[in-house]
Amino acid sequence: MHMPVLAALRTSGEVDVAPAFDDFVRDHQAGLVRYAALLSGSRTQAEDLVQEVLVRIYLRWDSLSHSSGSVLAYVRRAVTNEHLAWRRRWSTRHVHLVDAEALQGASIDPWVGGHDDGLWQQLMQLPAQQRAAVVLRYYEDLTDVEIAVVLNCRQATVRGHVSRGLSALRRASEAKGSASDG
Amino acid sequence: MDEFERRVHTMLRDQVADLEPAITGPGVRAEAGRRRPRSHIALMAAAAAAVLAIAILPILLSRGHSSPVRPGSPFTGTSQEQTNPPPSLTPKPPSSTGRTTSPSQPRVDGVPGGTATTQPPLNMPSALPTTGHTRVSSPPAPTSMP
Repeated sequence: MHMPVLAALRTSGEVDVAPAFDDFVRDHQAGLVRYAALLSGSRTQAEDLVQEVLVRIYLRWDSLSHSSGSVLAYVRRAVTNEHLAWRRRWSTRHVHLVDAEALQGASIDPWVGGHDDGLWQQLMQLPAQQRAAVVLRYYEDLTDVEIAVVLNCRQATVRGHVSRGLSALRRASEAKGSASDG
Repeated sequence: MDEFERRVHTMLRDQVADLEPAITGPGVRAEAGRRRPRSHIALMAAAAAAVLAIAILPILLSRGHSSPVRPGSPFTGTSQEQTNPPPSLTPKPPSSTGRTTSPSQPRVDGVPGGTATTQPPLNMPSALPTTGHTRVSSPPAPTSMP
């Protein structure tokens, strides 16, 4: 590479930032995509979510990498916010060309493979905030304080989300169990 | 953590255990590089809008100064204020009967009353019923007055 160009890139941070950013992506992209997949219920959408967030993170990586907070926590919060914003935009970005009844029970990205598919389907029925709180608690093993930071709410709200989400899952699971027994 | 919570924990782990995403740092950086021209386009659009506004602003200001201003009028602002003074500033014409126009009565220009219009009757310079007949060919005003 020509020396003036290299010096200009080093001054702008391109050369110094790229390896650190690549290391961050290599270390955390799998966990972030899995977390996003549990939030969205779609593997392809999860990759799009994380890719979208990482692109925006990269454009500000120089300032983020020098901040005192955890970059991973920041990125996880960004993924959560992107997921919630994505759901709000969902109705405007998708046009249904077939009858809604024909799509009953089908999903855009069928996901089969878990051992407890019934519980997974019930998790997907929870409101987005409750589902995010349950995933953060039981998949990421975060505390109330950490979940409150990710969801940008109070700890009492986090406890309410987790409690209500878990209760809804428990009720649905019991109802399904009693129905299958009968 | 009770049994059901452990079940939720296990279900979440199993659900994404075989997920192997293919997002790489260079790929993200390449995508970021492709998106940068969008910001440039937005910047150019904003600059074009600013130039257009600067070009239009003197024209609007010159049009505002070219409109005539009545001497003695307290309004020196926009042309709308100058051309449409409030009715209270116009001298009220004397009424032959001394009665004011009620909303149920038809006005002198033949337009039935009762609805608000953009031009109040008092602003019309030739609306004085001095001769007993109107200037327009609209249906005549009823003669029976309450």
